[in-house]
Amino acid sequence: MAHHDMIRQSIWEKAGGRRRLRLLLLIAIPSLLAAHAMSSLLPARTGLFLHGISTALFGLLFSWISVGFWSSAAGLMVMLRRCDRFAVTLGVPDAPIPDGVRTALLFPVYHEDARAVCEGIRVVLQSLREKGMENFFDIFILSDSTSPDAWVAEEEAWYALCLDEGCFGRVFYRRRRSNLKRKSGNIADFCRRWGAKYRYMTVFDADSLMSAETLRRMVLAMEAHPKIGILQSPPKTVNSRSLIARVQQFANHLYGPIFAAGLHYWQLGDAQYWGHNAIIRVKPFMRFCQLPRLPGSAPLGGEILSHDFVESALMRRAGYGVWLAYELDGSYEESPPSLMDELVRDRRWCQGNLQHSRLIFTRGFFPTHRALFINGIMSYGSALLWFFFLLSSSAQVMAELFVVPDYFPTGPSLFPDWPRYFPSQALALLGGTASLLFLPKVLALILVMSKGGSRAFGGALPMVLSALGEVVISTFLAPVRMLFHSVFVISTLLGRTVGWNAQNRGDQGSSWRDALRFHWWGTLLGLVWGFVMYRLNPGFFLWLSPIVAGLAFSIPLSVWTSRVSLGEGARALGLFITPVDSHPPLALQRLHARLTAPQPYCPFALSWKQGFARAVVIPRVFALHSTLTATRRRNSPGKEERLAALVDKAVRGGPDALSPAEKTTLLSDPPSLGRLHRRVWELPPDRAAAWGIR
Amino acid sequence: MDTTRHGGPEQPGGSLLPVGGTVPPLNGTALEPRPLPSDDMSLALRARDRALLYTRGMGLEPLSGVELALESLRRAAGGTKGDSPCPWDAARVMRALWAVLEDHGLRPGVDAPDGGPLVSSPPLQRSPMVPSPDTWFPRGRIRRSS
Repeated sequence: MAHHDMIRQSIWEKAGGRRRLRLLLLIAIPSLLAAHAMSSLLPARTGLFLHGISTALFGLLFSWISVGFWSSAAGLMVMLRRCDRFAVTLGVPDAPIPDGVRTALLFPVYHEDARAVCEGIRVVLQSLREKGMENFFDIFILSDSTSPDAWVAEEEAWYALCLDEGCFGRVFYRRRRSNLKRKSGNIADFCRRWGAKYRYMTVFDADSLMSAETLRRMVLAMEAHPKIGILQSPPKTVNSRSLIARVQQFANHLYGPIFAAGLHYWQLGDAQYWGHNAIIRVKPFMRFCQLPRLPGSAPLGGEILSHDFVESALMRRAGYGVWLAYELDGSYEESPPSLMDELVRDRRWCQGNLQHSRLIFTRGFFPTHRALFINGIMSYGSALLWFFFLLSSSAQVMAELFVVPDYFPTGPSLFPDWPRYFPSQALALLGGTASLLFLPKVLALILVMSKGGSRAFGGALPMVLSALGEVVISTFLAPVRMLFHSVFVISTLLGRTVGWNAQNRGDQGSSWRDALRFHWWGTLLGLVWGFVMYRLNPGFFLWLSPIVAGLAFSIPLSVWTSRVSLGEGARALGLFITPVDSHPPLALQRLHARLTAPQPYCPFALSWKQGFARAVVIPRVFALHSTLTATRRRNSPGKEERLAALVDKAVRGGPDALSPAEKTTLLSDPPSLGRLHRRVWELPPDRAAAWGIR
Repeated sequence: MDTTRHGGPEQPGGSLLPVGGTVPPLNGTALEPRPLPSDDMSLALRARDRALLYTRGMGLEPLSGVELALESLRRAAGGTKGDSPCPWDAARVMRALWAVLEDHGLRPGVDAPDGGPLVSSPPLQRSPMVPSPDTWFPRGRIRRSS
C-alpha cells in the first residue's frame, strides 16, 4: 500500500485503535500487579485506611510513569525502523509550493521584547527569500499588548524591520484594542479579519523559529493530505544560557525525539496541538474550532485558557486529523531561564489543564482526546498524588510508633501473627519503578550512540556524564516542582485564578531575595519534615532524603540553576552540549548575530522600553505612531476637555505623572499627542530633561 | 545651503555660530561683533542643540537637518510679534523651527515607500468565526461569547 494511502482516515484510525488498546493493557496490567505488590509490602497494623490510600496512590502513580516508559519504548521501535508508514511528511513529493497556496505566519505577542521578536521574523523572512518562497507567505505580528510602552516599541520595531528588509506589504502589524480571550481570541481575530485570504496559517510563539525548508515541507504535507487539519512540529529548545535552561535543552534534544516518535506511534491522527510551531488549515479551523465560554466562573469556568488541546479535539471532531510530524527538524523554541519563571508558567498551564476536566464528557469528542485531557490534568495532578503518597507513607511511619502491635488479630490463638517483611520483594518493586523512570533515558542514549550521533552531544563520555548530571539536577528539582504543582492544583480547585502575564524570556537570573520570598515555605517544610522523620525513623529518612533535601535546598538550587555563569561554565566543560551548539543552524547563527549586535547610536536619553516617552519626544517615532493611529473619528467636547487636561498633567509632571491608562488614552488620540509633542519640545531645559531632551 | 554665504568664519570644531556668537542677518550685511554674556551663550548653545536634536530626531539627511536648524536659529533671532524677548528661548526656537519645516513642506507623517499612506495591516477580508452550534458542554449548551 502506498505511503500516501496510510494517512487515509479509515486506515490509520483502525491502526491507532489497536495500538491504544495495547497501550492500555501494557499500562493497566503491570500497574495492578505493582499495586498488589505494594499492598503486600505495607505494614498492615497501621490500619486499613492508610494502607488503602497508599496502595491506590502507588497504583495510580505507577500507571502514570508507565505512560512515559511505553512512549519511549514505542519511540525507540519507530526510530530503529527504516521507514515509518505513518510518518506524515515522508513520501510527500519534493516539489515547489503550488501557485495560489498562501500561508500566514502568525506571531502573537503580549509585552514581549519587540526587537527580539522582529529579529526572529527577519531570520524567517531571509530564510524564505533564499529559498525563493517569499511570495507564498505573509507575516503578521498580532499584538495584544496593553502597555503603552510596549505598543510603541512594537510599532518602531515593525517599521525598522520593514525599512531594513523592504518588506512593506509582506510583514504586517496589528494591535488589538481589547485582548478578549487572550491568545486564542487574538488568533480568532486574525481569522475573522484576514483568514479567508489564506489556506493555512502557522502560529509561532514570541521566541520560536522555523526554517523555510520546514515550512515548505509542512505546507506540502498539508496539500498532499487534505484531511489533516493541524500538523504539529516538535520544537527543539535553543538559545539556553542559564544552567537549568541548558539542562532542559539537553534533555529536549536527547530524549525529545524518542518521546515524540512514541507519541506519534500511539496517537497517529489523534495527536495534540501544542499552541505554536504548527500549521493549521484555516477554513475548518474557522468553521469548527472557535472556542466557546465554559459555563460558570473562573478558574474552572469562563474563558478557556489552554486553548490548544481543545482546538485539536474540536478539529478532530470535525473529521480532520491532528498529526505530530516527529520526523521534522528546523523547528525551535526557548525554555524559561529559571525555575521560578518555569513555575510561573506552570501556574497558568495548570489552571488551563484543570479546566479541561469540564470538557472530558463533551459530545462528539473522540476517546483519545478525552484521554489526552486526563493526561494533561495528570501532568499536574500526579504531583499532588505523589505528595499525598509521601505524606501517607510518612503518616504510616508515625502510626507504627504509636499503634500497639496486635499479634493476635483474629482472637486468642497459640500462634501469634508476627509482622513479616519482604526486602527482596521491596527491592524488586523499587527496581521496577526505577526502570520505568530511568530506562527511557538509557534507551535514548543507546539510540543516539547506535546512530553515531554522540559527537553532536560533545562525544560519548560527555553525553553520558551530562545525562547523569541531568538526572541529579532533576532529582533535586523534582520535589520543588511537586510541591508547587500540588499547591497550584489545590488553589485552582479552591477557586483562585491566575492572570496571564507576560513570560520572562531574559537571562537576568534569580536573586537571593526573590528566591527567598518564593521558596521559603518549601524550605521550611523540607527541614521540618526531614527532622521529624529522622528522629522517628532514620531508615525511612534515608528513603525520603532526596525529597526533603530538594525542598530544604530549594532556595540555593533556584538561584544557582538560574545563573548564566554556571550554564556557560558547564558548556565550557563540554557538558550539556546539544547539536544546535556544535552545529548551529544558519537561522540561529543569524539570530544570535543580530541580537548581540550593538544598537545604533540614538541621541535621545530614552530606551526602547520607554515607548510612550519616545512617541512624545522623538519626531520620527511621533510621526510613525500618529500615522498608524490616524482616525477620522471626532471627539466629543467632554473627551476633548479630558484629553487637554491629560496633556497639561503630562507637561507639568513628566511622563511618570501619567498612569498607563492615561498614556494609552493620549497615544490613541494623535491630535492630543501632537499638542503634547510640541509643548514638551518648548519646555525649558530643566523641565525638558524629564522627557529625555538634554 | 552654504553656511558661509552670510559671512563670518566658522569656529574651530565646526560650530555653526561665527566668532563672537552673533548671528549674521539674512541680508548679508555684517554686524559689528558683540560678545554674548555667558548666560546668553549658554542659552544660545542649548537652543542650537535643541534645534539640531529635533532635526536629528526627524531622521533627515545630515546636511539638510543642519541647514534647517540654522535657518530656524536665524529666524528665531529675528523674532516675530508675540515671541519672548530672549532670542534663545526654547519655545521661540522650536516655533521657528516648525515654521521653517512647514515652509519646506516637511510635515509630521510617514509615507509608505511607494509614496502612498503607510498602513501596518492589509485590507480586511472579513468572514465569520463563531462556536459550532451543536457543541454541547456539561451543564447546558454553550453560550456564544460576546
